[in-house]
Order: sequence, then structure tokens, then C-alpha cells
Amino acid sequence: MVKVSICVGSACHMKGAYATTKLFQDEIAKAGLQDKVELSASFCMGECKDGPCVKVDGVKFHHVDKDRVVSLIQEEIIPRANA
Amino acid sequence: MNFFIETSWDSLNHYGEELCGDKVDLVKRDKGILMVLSDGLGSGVKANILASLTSKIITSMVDAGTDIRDVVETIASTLPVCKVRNVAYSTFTMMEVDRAGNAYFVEFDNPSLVILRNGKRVFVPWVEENIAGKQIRQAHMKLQLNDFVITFSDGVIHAGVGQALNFGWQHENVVQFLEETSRPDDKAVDVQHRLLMKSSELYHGQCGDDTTVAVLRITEPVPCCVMVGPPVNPEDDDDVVNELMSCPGIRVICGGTTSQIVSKQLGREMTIDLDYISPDVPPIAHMEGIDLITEGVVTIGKVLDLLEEYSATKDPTVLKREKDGAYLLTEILVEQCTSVKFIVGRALNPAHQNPDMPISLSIKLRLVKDISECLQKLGKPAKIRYV
Repeated sequence: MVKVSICVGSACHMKGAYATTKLFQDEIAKAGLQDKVELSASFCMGECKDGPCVKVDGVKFHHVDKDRVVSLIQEEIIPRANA
Repeated sequence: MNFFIETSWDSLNHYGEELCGDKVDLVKRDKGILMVLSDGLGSGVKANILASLTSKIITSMVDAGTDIRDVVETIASTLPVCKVRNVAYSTFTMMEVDRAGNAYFVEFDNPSLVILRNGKRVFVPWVEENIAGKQIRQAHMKLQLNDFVITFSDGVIHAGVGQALNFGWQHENVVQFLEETSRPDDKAVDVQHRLLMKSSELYHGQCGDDTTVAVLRITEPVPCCVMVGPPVNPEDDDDVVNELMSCPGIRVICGGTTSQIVSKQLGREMTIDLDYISPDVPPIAHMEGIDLITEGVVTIGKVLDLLEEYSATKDPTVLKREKDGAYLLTEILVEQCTSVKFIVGRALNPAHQNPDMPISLSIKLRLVKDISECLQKLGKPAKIRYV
């Protein structure tokens, strides 16, 4: 199970965590990965300057706005899910 | 039993007037409350002055322990005489209620107050007395938990005269309306708002008289403690969390970092909702022993907007449009608690200290201060402690 946690703290929220969250939910479902990826929200991860921040199995990724979600899923999440 | 006395009042001005000729004055004391509704002769400035003087004289003198006879004599001899009508006149209703539920009511020429218990009118043992040429009615009685005392100016019983109703709304009709619309979960503001809106409807929105409704409700105290932001000194974390958890009523945390501190101190797990209820407010979180956990500055900014919108209309449906963190918190502050204490931490979030970050500590402090003031205007005791 790949653990993906999206920061929804104040700063990440202002930088678009809502769109990131929605897109993650849609794209994970589209890729049929619901059983392999556990999505969750998190309060402040301390990365306010470089938000929205997303943690994949404990590794932080910065500036994950809606344009970055699909590539992050392709590059980081699918390989882990299939590993 | 140490009751809390919840109060709510509002007025509609005589159509075309900027000032209201009715006046409600409330004095909150340790032992209870003292509330006066007075209705000055006529409308506009003159009526406003008469009503303001009357209510203020009564609250000040009764609060100082003066006998009601002396108070009425003072009003009779000090109110300015209207040049046109050659009388000095202002009606009033005084309600003095202590925390044990002991009530003392005094009425002069206002529509008689109504006490509702379990949705039914309760008999009030009035005794009439002539003081300084005025027929004054007085009553002493014991109120119970969840009793409502509803008082209103004659603008309510005149509502609709010659328009919707030939003779206006009679006192008995008002009582019937109050009984029929009463709900077990009503707050003082609900009853007040309902009666005032009904009066406005009968006037077709253009009141022929100043119309005021004041309601008090006997309830159990439900304090609410809201922790906003981490303390400046991390050594105080433990004390602040203890203060929050020792609140016997509703416990709220605003702020991601703040809730993480509480979670760590208590050793309790926190889960955060993934689903956004509305795009403009971050999701809420859950922890055992805490009634509501929200994000910080964005949420409280919206709480202030909602409170201001609610204050303008007193329309309870405003609070129920959504279920996001801001709506839930506003509903707790307005409807569910009887007093609020904000524990505001002034620690700077190091991650927020850069020019492109639209969040600052000063904004947060300002928002909490404005929310507190807004609640006080709504008659809810609110205080802030900075840590």
C-alpha cells in the first residue's frame, strides 16, 4: 500500500491544496489504484513556503499543484504501487 | 442550580425613521441579569430619547437597589414633556432574573410579557399598584430550566392594522403564535427572530410602529473553549492543553500546528478528513475529547464573515447552509454555547515568515478580536486570553 498524504494546512490550502486533493482522488480512481494507494489529508507539514506539499511513503514533494499531480502519480506512485 | 440566562433582542424601526423609539437596556451582573424594554411616545428622535432615558433610569436605579416606587416616581418627574402632546410618556417592562431562576417583573402599559414553559403559556401572578399616578403591575415568580420570557413593544400587537388584519394582531394571537411555533430546541434568538419576522410580514415590511422583541431563556451554562495557535513559549504547551481539556463544555481547536501539539500532549491520534466540504475552507479533523478541530486563519476568517452576516439578519438558516469547518464553528459559537473563551497562542510560525505568504500573526489576532467583539454584540460573553 502506497501512503499518500496531502497537506491541507493554511498555506498549502491557499496555494491550491483543494485542487490537488480533488485531482488526486480523481486520478487515482481513473488509474484503478484505489486498492493500492491510501490517500489521506494532513495538517501543516512545515513546508509552507513550498506548498502544496504531498508526502509519498514518507518522502516529501513540493509545489504539487494541479499541473504536477499527474506526473507525480506516473513517476512516483504507479511504480511503487506495482513494485 | 446555577442557571445561565440567555438573552436576545432586536427592533424594527417605524417605517421611514432612522432611530427606533423602543429601547432595550441590559445589565449583566454576577447574580443574574436586569433587562428593560421601554417604548417612548411617538416615533423618531423624541421617542428614542424618552425610551433611552426610561430604560437607563430603571436599570441604573434598580441595579443600585432602589425600590421600584422611587424609580417610577423619578421617571414620572424627570421625563421631558412633549410640546405637541403635553405629556411625558414612555411605557416599560422590567425583568430581573437571578441565576437561581428567581424572577421579578414590573410592567407599565407595555403588552404583557409571556412566559412559555414546554411550549405553553404559564400564568404570571401579577399584582397591580398605583404609583405616582401610574398603574404598575408587578410579579415575583420562580422560573425553571428552559423557560422563555418573551416581551415586546406594542408594535407587535399592532402589526398589520388596517393592512393584513383589520384590528392588528391581538395579544392572544401573539401568544397563540408563540405556542404554535415553539420548538423544544429553540434558543432565545430563535423565538425573538420568529416573532419579529412575523410582525414584519404582517406590516408588509413597512412597520407602522417601532417594533421590538426581547427574549430571555433559562438554560444550563455551556462554556466553550477555543484554542487558536501555539503558545509563544513551548514550555506552556502542557498548561494550555490542560486548560482546554478542563473546559466542561465544548472544546475547539483552530490550527493545524496547534492541533498537532494537543495530539502530542494527550497522546491521542488525530485523523483529518480528506474530503473538502467547500473549496474555500480546509477540511476538519477529529480527536477523542475534542468537539471540533479546524484549520486556523482561513477558517476563522470565514467565521468572522459568517458572524457578520448572521448579526445583520439574525437568520439562523445562514448558519446551516454548509457543514465545513467555518460553518460548524460559527454554529457552535452562536447556537450551542453560552459563553466563549479564546486561548490565543502568539507563537510565530517560522514557515509563514516570508513576503509571499498571505498569512500573518497580526491578521489572526485581529480576526479573533473581531470575532469576540461580534459575539459580545450578540449578547454572548466572550473573552480572550493570550499565551
